[in-house]
Formats: sequence, C-alpha cells, structure tokens
Amino acid sequence: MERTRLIAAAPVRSASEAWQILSTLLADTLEQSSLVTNGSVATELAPLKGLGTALVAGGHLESKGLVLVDNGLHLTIRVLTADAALDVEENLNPVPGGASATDGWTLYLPSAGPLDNAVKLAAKKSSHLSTNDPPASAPTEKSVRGSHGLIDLDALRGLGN
Amino acid sequence: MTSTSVSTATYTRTHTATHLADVILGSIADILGTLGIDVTRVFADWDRDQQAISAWIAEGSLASVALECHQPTGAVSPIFEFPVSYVGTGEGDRKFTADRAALARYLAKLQTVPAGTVYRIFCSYTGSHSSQPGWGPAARAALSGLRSYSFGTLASGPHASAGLRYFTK
Amino acid sequence: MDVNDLIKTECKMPDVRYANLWDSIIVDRSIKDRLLRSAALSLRLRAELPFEATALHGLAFLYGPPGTGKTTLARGLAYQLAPLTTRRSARFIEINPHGLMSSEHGQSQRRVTELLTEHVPSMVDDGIPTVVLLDEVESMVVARSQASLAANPADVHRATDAVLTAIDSNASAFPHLIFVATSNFTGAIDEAFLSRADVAIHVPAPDAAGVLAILKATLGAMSVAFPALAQLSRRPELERVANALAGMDGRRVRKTVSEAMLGRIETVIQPGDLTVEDLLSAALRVKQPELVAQAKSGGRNGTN
Repeated sequence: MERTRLIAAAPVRSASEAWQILSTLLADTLEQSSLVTNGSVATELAPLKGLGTALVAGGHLESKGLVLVDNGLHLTIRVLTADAALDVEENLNPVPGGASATDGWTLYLPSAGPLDNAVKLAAKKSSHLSTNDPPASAPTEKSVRGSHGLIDLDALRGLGN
Repeated sequence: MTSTSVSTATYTRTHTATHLADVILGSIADILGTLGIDVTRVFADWDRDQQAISAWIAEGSLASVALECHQPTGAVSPIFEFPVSYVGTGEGDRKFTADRAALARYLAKLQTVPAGTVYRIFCSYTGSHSSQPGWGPAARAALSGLRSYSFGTLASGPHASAGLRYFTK
Repeated sequence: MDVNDLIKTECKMPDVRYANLWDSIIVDRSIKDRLLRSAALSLRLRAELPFEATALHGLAFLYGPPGTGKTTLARGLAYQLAPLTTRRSARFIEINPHGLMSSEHGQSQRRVTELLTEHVPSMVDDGIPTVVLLDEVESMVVARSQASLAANPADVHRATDAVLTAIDSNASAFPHLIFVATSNFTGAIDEAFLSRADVAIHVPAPDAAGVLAILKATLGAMSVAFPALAQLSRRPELERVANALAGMDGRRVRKTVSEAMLGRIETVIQPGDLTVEDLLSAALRVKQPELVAQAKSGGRNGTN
C-alpha cells in the first residue's frame, strides 16, 4: 500500500531540522525490522548530509519527494515549505510495514534541477540510494512471511476431528 | 499525531527569519549547482551560515547576502545579491512565499563559469549586529562596471522579504 | 484527534479471559466451523497468493437478531485461532465504531482512514494474525441509498467510502489482518461493504433445541455456585420451558433463568431451589410484552 508522509520545513522549522526529522522517520521505520541493524540507516544516509538540507531548502522535496521502497513498503516523504508548511499535519510515527523491511531497502531520490549532479554523486556512495524512477508500488513478494506461512497445517488437521 | 499548524495571529520574527534564511541559502546552493561550482562546502557550512543569517534577519540587522564567484582570472563575476527589506509588523495577511518556479526559469538562463571558479558569501548590515560564529569582517568586490539585473522579490514573510539581483560583466 | 480512544481492546491470545467465550455461545456447529475455517483459510491463502488471485478481503460478516452471540463469537475467534497458527499466537483488537462516527463534523472520514490504514496496521506490524472486531458496523458503513443520503450527513457517507478503501488497501498489504463485522440491521448496510465480505454468516435466534441447550448451559454454569441447579438442568420437563421460549434470542433465554429466580423471595435467597414451574412462569412473563406487541400489530407472525 502506497503511503505519503508530509514534513514541515521553514517557517515551522529550519531545513536542517526537517532533514533530521526525515532521517529519523526512515530509521525508526526500517529499524523495526530485525533485518535492518540499528544505526545502519543513518550510515547509509550519510552521503546525503548537507545535500538533504539543501534539497529541503530549495523546495526540491515538495512535489515528488523521496520514495522508500522495500518488501511491502512504498513510502513517499514530501517536505513542504512556506505557506504549505503551515498546514501540515505531521505523523512522525514509524510507518506500518517497517517491521517486515529487508536489508534491500531503497531510497529513491528525485531529480533536483541544479543539484542533480550532487545528488547523483551522493547516490553512488550507497547501494541503498538510487536516482532512478521509483516503482509505482511496493514489490508484493511475500517470501518473508510466506516461507513460514501463518497457519500450522498439523494443527488445522486437528480441527477435522 | 502532532499538528504543526501555527495559529494565524502568531507568526514570530523567528518564523520569518527561518524562512528567508532557508530560501536564500537554498537559492545559493541552486545557483552554484547551475554554474557548475562545487557545492560541498555550502553543505558543510550550512548550519553555521543558516544560524547566522536567520539571527541577523530576526534582529533586523541584515541588509543583504551576496554570493561572489571568483574566477581563476581574478575577475569576480557573476555576483548575486539578496537584499532584505523589513516591512510590516507581522500582522495581517502577509504569509510566507517563495517564488521557486521563477527562480528556476531565471537560473536556466545563467551561463556556466570557468572551471576552477570558487565562491565567497558576504553579509552586509543596516547598522550594528550581533556577532555570529564563523563570520568575520571582510571586503566585498566592487560592483562598478557590472551590469545588474533584478529578479524582484524572491521570498517574503510577515516581517521581511528578500529579493535577488544579479551582476555580471 | 487521539485514535487511541477508538481502540476498545487490544489483547494477545492465548488470554484466559477469552478462553470460554466461544463455548459459551450455543449455536449450530456449522456457524462456528464456518467462521473459524474462513479465518484459517484467509490466513493460509493470503500469505501465499496475491489479492488478484484470491479475491479475499479478509472480512467476515456476522448478522442476525440481537442477542444471538455474534459479538461474543467474534471476540472469541482469536483465541480459537491462536493454536492453529505457526507462532501459536493471535491478537484481538476491538474498535469502537460509535466513537469513530461521533467526532466533530467532517472528521469521520479522516478518523476512519487514519485508524484503519495507519494506526491498526502499525499495531499489527509484528505479523501476528489479528482479528479486528467492528461491532454494530451499520454505524460505519451506512447504505448509500437515496433515503440514507437525505437522512445522514455527507460526512457519514464519506466515512463509508473510507472504510471500503481501507479494506481494499489492507486486503493485500496485510494478509494477517482479518476484520470481523457484526450487525443486527443488514438492510441499513452498504452493498459494496457486504459484497466484500469473504463470508457472511447468519446467526439466527435459536430453535427449540437450541433454547434447551442454552437453558441447560446456563443452569450448568450457575451450578458451580448452586449445585442443585445441575440436577434441574437434567430435568426432561425443561423441554416445555424451551418450547415456551422458542423464537427468543439466546441472551434473553439466559436472562430468563435469573428472571425465574426473582419470581419468589425464596429463590432469591436460595437460587438452588429453582424449579421447572418457576422457569415456566418466568417464560410466560418475559413473553408477555411480545404477545401484546403482536396483538397491537394485528397478530403478526414470528418475533425476530
């Protein structure tokens, strides 16, 4: 299921603070999964330090935003500025679906006009960052749960008595 | 869930200052990216610069921010100036605007600069101003002999607005 | 807008408080079988196949007259499901639909969407099979007929849309999530909601055999405190009481026992002294208002 979360930048808070909140939301969501090591998300986002703030301040995350895609997870995060920031109702709770995240998560970065080169360079520094167009929906592969299944067939046979 | 909407009667000078500082710095990053000048130092210095610029706007002491491009030949061109004017008392209908679409069109017409061009950022003041870490007195390049073009108002808030002017040889 | 207020209950099974709910409801075995099997099948298929293949929304619907045990069965389902799961665990969540719909004007749609697409999914993010009860769901999924549009604010209809959209999204995103909706008023429920139910189970008022079983079970349960009632529960004359109560819903049948006890001060003091005659008198007493109602409406047949 595709979800969108909105974050307010200036005038509500500075671009730097907004980027920090965005990073925290990503980490809080992904690190709910046992397959994503605590602290690893911040490490993978490190190439975006400073650049992320500039993207926010330049309004480059307002329309397409960043898109996090993983097994069962498709999250668009947009950061709004100016008047639009004043009306944002933020939900900064970890996004549902994070607990089944894998270590194959990908954060898709939007085209950013004059900062495109800087974004492309940063994306090369982590296998989790991509400047490609994100898929329209999350992969529906159910291998994480499907391999165990939810129902115990032996117990189910017991119902037949 | 938290709501971040601010009551319409209580936008503070800090709100205006945060907004204008972000737009100015964001525009500087966009300009440098357009011209092909390395932006990494902007990112590294961002927090320090944002803090200083917004503090000066909040106290009403910032007159303008200038971005100078220093070419390997020694010429200083282009120069971008963000003049700040202080209007209003924060009440009424004036809210927070940023004309990003127009800026993007404007930037699209800029010519790139020779490789090896570096940048410097200056702030000018209306009078006395607080001292901010990382910022010290320096001399700006002369504007005489340069042609100037005005973009107009780049961004505004209830207490102040920022414009953009472009100077080139 | 605190969506936590809209969650009445959240509980992981096994929990001893839910152990007896399923057995406490006396209904035809097929009803319980269908409900439990549909839940198990839903979990089994939806974990393996996409929605496009299964067409399963993860929604079960229980309908029928009041007092027939629909809500209790829904509440007890997770406990029954837990031992069938690979992790031997299931969760039960109960939503308060009236709280959802009685918010300030225009907010119902947002509250529904937030509750069903954000809050509940985050509660079940651990993947443990979860049963979510939407009790008296007719307040949430109002039929969008002409008359309803005139009678209900537009916000209520938008809330119905929000429920349907949430069910559709959750169907594929959360295969371990099962909604169970109950209602006494099927005519008032939106068709699009009903068509999404993977299984619609009618829980009728008990027939005479069912009433007898309920009477016996009620007396048997009370015999823990008043042992003489166990003997009463085995009296063959109870069939006459059951016949007298035929057509009544299960809840009211059970209440007839305590109604019988208050018929004499002696049985208030010593409930174990209850007799078949006491029960017969009580049966007549509780049926009386129904006889009056029938007479006023020209002897209309049937009660529910």
